[in-house]
Amino acid sequence: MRFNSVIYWLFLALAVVVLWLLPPRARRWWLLVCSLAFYASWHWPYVFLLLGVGTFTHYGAAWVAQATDRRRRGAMIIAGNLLILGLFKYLDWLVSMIDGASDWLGLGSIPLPGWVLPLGISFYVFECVSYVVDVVRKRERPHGYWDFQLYLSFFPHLIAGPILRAKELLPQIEKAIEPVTARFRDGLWLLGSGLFLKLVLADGIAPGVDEAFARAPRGLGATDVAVMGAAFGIQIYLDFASYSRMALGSAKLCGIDLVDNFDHPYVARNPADFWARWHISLSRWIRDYLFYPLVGGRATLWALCRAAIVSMVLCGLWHGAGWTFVLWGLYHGLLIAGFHVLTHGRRTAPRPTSTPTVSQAIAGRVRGAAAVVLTFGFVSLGWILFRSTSVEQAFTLVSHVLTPWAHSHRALPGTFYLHTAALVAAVWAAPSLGRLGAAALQWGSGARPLPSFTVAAGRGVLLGGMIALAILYLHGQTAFIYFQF
Amino acid sequence: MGWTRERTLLLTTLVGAGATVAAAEVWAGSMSDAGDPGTRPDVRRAENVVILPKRVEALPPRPAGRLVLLLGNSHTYALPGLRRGQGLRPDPGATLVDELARAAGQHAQVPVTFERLAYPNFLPTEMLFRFAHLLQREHAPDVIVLGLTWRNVARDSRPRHEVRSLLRDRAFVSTLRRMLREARAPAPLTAFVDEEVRRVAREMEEERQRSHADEIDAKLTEHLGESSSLFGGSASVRARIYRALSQGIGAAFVRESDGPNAAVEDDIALNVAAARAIFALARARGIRVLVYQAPERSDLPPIVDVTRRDEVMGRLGRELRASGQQMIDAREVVPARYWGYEHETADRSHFTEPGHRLLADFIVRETAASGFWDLSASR
Repeated sequence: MRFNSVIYWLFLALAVVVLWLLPPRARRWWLLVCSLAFYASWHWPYVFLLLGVGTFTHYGAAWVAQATDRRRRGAMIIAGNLLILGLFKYLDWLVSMIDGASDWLGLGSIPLPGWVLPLGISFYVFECVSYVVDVVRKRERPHGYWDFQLYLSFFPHLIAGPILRAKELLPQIEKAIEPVTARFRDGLWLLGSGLFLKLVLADGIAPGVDEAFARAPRGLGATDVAVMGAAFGIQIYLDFASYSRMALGSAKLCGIDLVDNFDHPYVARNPADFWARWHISLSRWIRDYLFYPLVGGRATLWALCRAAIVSMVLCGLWHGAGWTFVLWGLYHGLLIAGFHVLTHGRRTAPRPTSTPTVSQAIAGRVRGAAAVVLTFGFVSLGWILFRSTSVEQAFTLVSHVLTPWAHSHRALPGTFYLHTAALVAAVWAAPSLGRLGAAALQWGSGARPLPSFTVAAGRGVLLGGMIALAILYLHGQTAFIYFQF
Repeated sequence: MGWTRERTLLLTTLVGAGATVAAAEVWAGSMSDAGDPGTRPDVRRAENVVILPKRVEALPPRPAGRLVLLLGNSHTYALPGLRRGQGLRPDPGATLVDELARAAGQHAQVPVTFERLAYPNFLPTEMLFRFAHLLQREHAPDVIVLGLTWRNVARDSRPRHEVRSLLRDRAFVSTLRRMLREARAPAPLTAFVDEEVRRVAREMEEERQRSHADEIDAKLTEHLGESSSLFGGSASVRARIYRALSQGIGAAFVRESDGPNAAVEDDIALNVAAARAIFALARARGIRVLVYQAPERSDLPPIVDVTRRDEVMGRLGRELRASGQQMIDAREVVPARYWGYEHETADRSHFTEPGHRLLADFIVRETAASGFWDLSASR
């Protein structure tokens, strides 16, 4: 069941209506039943894998908590989790590499296991790992078995995150789940706007992107490739951000708050800033459980660069079993390392106490805009590596964009350029538009704590408009890009 | 808990949203149109004219006797609006295939069936797939009349889903590969076919992994499509939105000085290779081939760069003539007064009924003297 399907809307409506009809103590059980049914609707045998991973981690964490030397036991439980992830996600890739080598040596071919990748396994295994690490670090205590299973399987975040810490969800589950009208209103808004982002904007640009990347790379010019990178960057952002909005919205309707995954990543001013805004729950995980331990006690430039590169390569590998993802991670690691080299040891200039002059303000804005555009350009180049289906395609495309004098022709239609430009402009304008919207709501509500009826009705019309457009653009279920990770 | 102000506001929001969706439903109902003009339901055609369905699995058996097959894009069947603001009109039974049956039938000496197989923007690569399918299904014609438009040679080569679905059939894939070898297709064309085969295999694998929930969802969506204009008529409403947007974009950004869209070398190479493969397969089976360069509007600049057109089409023509087949240039056959509109813009692809008659007469006149249409001794 994908969030952009009719069956999910019916499922969610049923789940929410029954939830609020039940007595408070029964609600978490209902959510667990719904979550397992949600996962089973895709491939029921893997419900046992999900429950099995949850059981192993729950009892493993309890075993860790009893020990005086928690690190050794914790390492064993984490290794068990990573082994499961490796078996299901990376075994085919490893075997295909061994097969290639074996073929080359004339030793015959090795059949691939060909196991179906369990949906969401990268997400829930990472949650298990963070839980065990937090127990080792005594930042988390072992929780109840069924509460822990609901933490892992809660359907809005099960398939593609956000990757939650135990402390962010378990306390909400453990206390009585109560309806809050404001949460319900926000949930509907997040669902409607998420549907709009996915079906109208992300799926709108998707055919152009797919067609461009399916073309023979040598026929594409430098500007074509640059626009393809930007277009895919916008597509994956809208696709994943829309999923996250719908996850947050669904959870709110069930009385649960999840953490947001995006904070306008394309207005980031440097690579580190980008990762602080992009897929925040994963970035946080990488930072806390990989980057900081790798940096160690002394944050020397070498330690920072090494940790950035290793963390980002592993981050790339998390996204998929393939060399293009490794390259993409390495590229981002090098970008962040480069940023550390440029800024290490530099102290941030103190904010001037006096009001800046007009020229200073303009210069600041221009510098900021240039940093945003430059960061966007670097990130877009990375998306070429990410989206390419082979290393060969990735290198050919990147070589074209880096040698514009040799590839000045244009093969992609002008409408694709305009479509991409319009979406980039919209994404860049979104933070300002958000601030304007908030200001308008303030203006509408005056000094009262709640919006007026006019604002509520206006919000309803806007929500209805987005839902109507989403329905208009719904043509069968389209996959979310992050489902495959 | 009593009824609170917050709940009233939430209810207001819900009512506002519901009313907007309901208004959109009414609006969509008034906006939706037929989309692809297709054929008028009340049309009566001559008995020897057959329109082949676009769905590959719906191919009827080959009619007995002599058979002429017309292949081409929508210029073979769609009629433009007569006034600005009108959309395409459905085929009234007086389009190119009907006119060709009338004009060529007089020269055939024997009873002949005329079939038309056409899609919007029918690409030569797609024509190759469909032609190979006809041969595989023992539906080989005696004559192929193939309308080529430079735009469909120079800008795209990827087969649409309807045509690509042929590759789901393993027997067809092996037939196609055998035919490519027979036609001595160049490596890029065989690599292109291999890639399409892999793509279809991936699609089939995704379908195989569809769950029961996905199947239920497909049925629910279909049911909603029948009962809601927003769902059911979404394709035509979206098309209208795109038209409005593209006109706005065109007015705002596109200047004549920007020039036409670039031709894509890889697409040209693949389409030309596909056309050559069709010609070679036809020649080997004794099928006569007549290619015409489809009519264009001479009063408007081209929308695709034509720098290489004369060279590419000229070479194809020479190759065809060298092997005893025919190629004629019909680009200027339909004068400006026989073109029309597609909604708010001048239609560059379709011409009115007299244009179809002119084109058919031209095709027959240019080729009849050589005995091309005398099918009494064909094959």
